[in-house]
Amino acid sequence: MKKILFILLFTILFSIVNSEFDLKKFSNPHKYGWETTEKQHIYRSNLMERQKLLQVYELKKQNITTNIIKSAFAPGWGHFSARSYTKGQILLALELAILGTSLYYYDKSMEQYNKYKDASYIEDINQYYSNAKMPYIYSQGLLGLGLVIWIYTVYDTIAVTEEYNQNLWLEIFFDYQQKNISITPTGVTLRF
Amino acid sequence: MKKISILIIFILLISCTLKRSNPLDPNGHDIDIPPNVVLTILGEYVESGDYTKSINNYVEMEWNNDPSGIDGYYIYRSMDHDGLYILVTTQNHIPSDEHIQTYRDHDIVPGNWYFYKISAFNAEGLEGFRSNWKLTWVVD
Repeated sequence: MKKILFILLFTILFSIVNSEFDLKKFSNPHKYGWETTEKQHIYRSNLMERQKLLQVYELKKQNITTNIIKSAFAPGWGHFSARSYTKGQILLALELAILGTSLYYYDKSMEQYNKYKDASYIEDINQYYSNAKMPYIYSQGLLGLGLVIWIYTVYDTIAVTEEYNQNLWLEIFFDYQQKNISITPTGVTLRF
Repeated sequence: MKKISILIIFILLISCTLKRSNPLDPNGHDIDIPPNVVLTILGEYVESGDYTKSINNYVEMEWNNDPSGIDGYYIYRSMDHDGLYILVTTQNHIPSDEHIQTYRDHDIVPGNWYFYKISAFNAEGLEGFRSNWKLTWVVD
């Protein structure tokens, strides 16, 4: 029995030692569509570079939630962060103008309303209430409009941030490509 | 866009409700407006000028105090018909058989024109509509 086992082991070892390791067969570049091993290496290095770029992108990209919070806190802030300055300025100015006007009318309304509350003469009661009513409607209407713009600003921050991130990726990628083209005294070198 | 329009309309509808918080406001409160009072200045009535001559260095006036629900009266004076009327006195409602109440204003300067108005107020303190002005000339 021992002899049989020994012969079997010897036969296996002999066949392994004599058989040639086929590297090409083992790492077949055609398997993933690469024509040559060189192209496989190029692809691999390219992939590594892209992973590095992705890390840079991950560091530089803006968080949508953070920008939403910024815009919710101060309309336009999220836009400024996402470098959408014009839009941010317009929305901020619009919001401030509307809320300012709303506050002005509210103040005007409350001035009359306080007089109404203190009045004891029937004509004063009617007059002060009437005087307070219209500015109050304007004030609340403008406040509503301000609220709508605020909601739009927060909503638009998502789109603006997404656009910023998309442009950032293109920018990083473009910069990377630009770096690969170097002009030297001997000529232009293009690295892949 | 449609939703935004609905939201704006909704906010506008809400905004229309400015609370009538004054307890003396008859709108929304169970309170009656005191009735109007008619003022008459006593003296020599000059029909051509629609005024009354007041003599003896005071202006005497009377009004009908028949209506119920009155706690008192405010009497106002001005030197211009659409000028500022200052409160001259507050008179309590004194029921009488004649249903007439009178007042004499001594705080005047003879040789001037004076306009008077009167209004009634109720127990809650709500002042009713002021009467039309009455003109008097205080003779020197």
